[in-house]
Amino acid sequence: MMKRLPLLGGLAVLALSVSLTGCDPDKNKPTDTPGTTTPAKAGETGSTVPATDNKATFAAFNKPRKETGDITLKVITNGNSPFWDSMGEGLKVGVKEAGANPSSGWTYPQKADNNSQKDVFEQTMAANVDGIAVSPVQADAFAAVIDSAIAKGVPVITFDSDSPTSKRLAYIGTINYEAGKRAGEAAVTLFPNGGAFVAFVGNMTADNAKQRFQGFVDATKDHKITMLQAPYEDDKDATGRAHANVADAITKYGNKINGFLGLYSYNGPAIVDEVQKAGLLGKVKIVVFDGEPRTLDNLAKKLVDVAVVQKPFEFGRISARLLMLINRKGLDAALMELKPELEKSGMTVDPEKHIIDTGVQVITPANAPAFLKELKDKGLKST
Amino acid sequence: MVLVLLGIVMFFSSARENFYSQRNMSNVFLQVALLAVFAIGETVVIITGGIDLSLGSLIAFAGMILAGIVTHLDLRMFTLGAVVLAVILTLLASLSVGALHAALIHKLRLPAFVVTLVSLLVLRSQSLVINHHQQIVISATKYPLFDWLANGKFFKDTAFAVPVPVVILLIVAVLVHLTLTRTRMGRYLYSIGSNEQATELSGVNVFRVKLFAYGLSALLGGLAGILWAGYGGQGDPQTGSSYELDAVAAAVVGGASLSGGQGSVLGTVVGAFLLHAIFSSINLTLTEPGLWRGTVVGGVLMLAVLTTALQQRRR
Repeated sequence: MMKRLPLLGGLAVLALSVSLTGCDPDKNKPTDTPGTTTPAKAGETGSTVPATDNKATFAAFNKPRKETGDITLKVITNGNSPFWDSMGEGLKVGVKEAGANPSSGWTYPQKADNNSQKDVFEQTMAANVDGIAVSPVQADAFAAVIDSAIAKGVPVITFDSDSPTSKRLAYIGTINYEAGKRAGEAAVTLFPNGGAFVAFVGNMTADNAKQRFQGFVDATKDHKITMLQAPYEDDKDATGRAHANVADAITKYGNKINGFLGLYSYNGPAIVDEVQKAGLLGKVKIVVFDGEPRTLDNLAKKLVDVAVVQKPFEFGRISARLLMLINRKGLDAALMELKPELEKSGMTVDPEKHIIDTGVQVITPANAPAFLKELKDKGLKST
Repeated sequence: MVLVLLGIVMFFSSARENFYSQRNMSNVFLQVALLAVFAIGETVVIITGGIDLSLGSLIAFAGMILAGIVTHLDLRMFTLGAVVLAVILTLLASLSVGALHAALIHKLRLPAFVVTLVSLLVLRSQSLVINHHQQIVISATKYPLFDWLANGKFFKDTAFAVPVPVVILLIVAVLVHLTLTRTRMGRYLYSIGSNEQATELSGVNVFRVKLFAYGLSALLGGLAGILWAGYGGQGDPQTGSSYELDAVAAAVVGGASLSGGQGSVLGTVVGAFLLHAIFSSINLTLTEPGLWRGTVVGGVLMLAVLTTALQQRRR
């Protein structure tokens, strides 16, 4: 019996340890750190059209909620990552532009799961704020939380990741399917006669990963661009497995690979590192998503051929502006007031569906210097 | 154990010439080295009947400290001096974390599990605090030493190219193996794991032995942090998540008992190799490796543990 104890004890500790890892913010995160779930357009995979009829809800918020007096806003992200720093910078600018209480800021759940985010949300509600922008960890599960706040008369909007079945007043973010298509179109330009790609991702269970990948595949399928296999998944082990997967792909397919696609922000730097080690730089093309610091560095060095980047700065800035205007002038008036200004900057505002698509930028070595200068001028180290 | 390892690797890879290619073996050995360096420290702690759950966070923390110090100091002194000082300070900081663990565990009689769990949380948080969530890039051009430490090779471009971390692992493995098998400290480590009270009653300074075990674990965690920072080209506050479990898994697969008193450096290195050989085999063999990875690795872990348990029963 005693001899069995080490084994049983070992298994118990291992099991406990494994469950403890589940406590790590990154492990349970169903969405990408940088830029998260955004369903595709209606009719494609996923939908941003609210499933419920929210006309009555929207109508209730068309009247000004607080025409004068102090307005305090709160932004709740789905976790903690450098990606959100740019959003935070945008929020500061938006709060200043809108004239909201300077204490308006952003917060995040310690664990990227639905319950932790709900706790943060309820604490924010308890602080009697005048508006909340949230990036839900789980779109459907969070709908009831949003609806409860709406029922209490607190304006709630979503950003980066929508909750289409909720009564949220508006959604601000990127359409990831479209972002994937933009990456695919860029790949077609790089390979007009076709080519073979391998893709890398954290988890394909995350909606944003699926949408980006599907967008890429749809944009390239009629142009002889193929995927050699399903995307390699690294479970968000940004250093170890992200690199090992690229090395394994190079070993497995060798010179059959013409292009590498990094779907998550950290996949870009991992691809560049391993391609460089394998002596393939210049022989293959690299298409990545998001602008984390090393990707920006690689763009400056022309080691990345295409980077599709989101605009988290605008997520924060527009959230503050929109929530302020909803309080002062009402929902429809707020959207209509922002529409011309945002569309002038290349974004689209759909007043019917209450969606503000901030769009993406496709950065190549040709426009990288101007893009990097713009980021530097805004004081941003990532995007 | 070795037969199990070989069987599994052959099962997945016998028909896959890619697995045995120089490129892949070099990559597998590199990954093994990056894991085994700190798994050896974990093994020493496990031998004493303890556990160190802080290693994954310590790897991120050490990488951030290193990157933070080197980039700050570089503005004030010459680059090589900044690099050397950053490495020394990172290792000292890591060592002090280990010393604190030993003190809390032995002097205050706190459970190792809880103490190192607290470190796991605090060090991860502090890693984020250092540069406000952001990574700190360590340019390979400006700091080629770090890049070489993790990505460099001896006998580069020859058939005998050996990744630098593999050589570092060999040095660490030999030193720790000799300590465990040829020194009084080694005997005390096993003795504490088997029966701490009896060891203490026989006059052994148990605190000193635990100081050595937890200090070594943290020191090797710090070394791994430096290597991982070089490997990824940056200090990354998010890196290393759950790596402590990989270390525990490598030690257990290698024959260590979490009740203490058992374990070896060779076993842990073999365990680390087994884990990475399986990872690589899955990646090279399956077209959707992500779907089956957990099942295969979990099954292999169970098989390895059962093999060890059956061996123990026969004795």
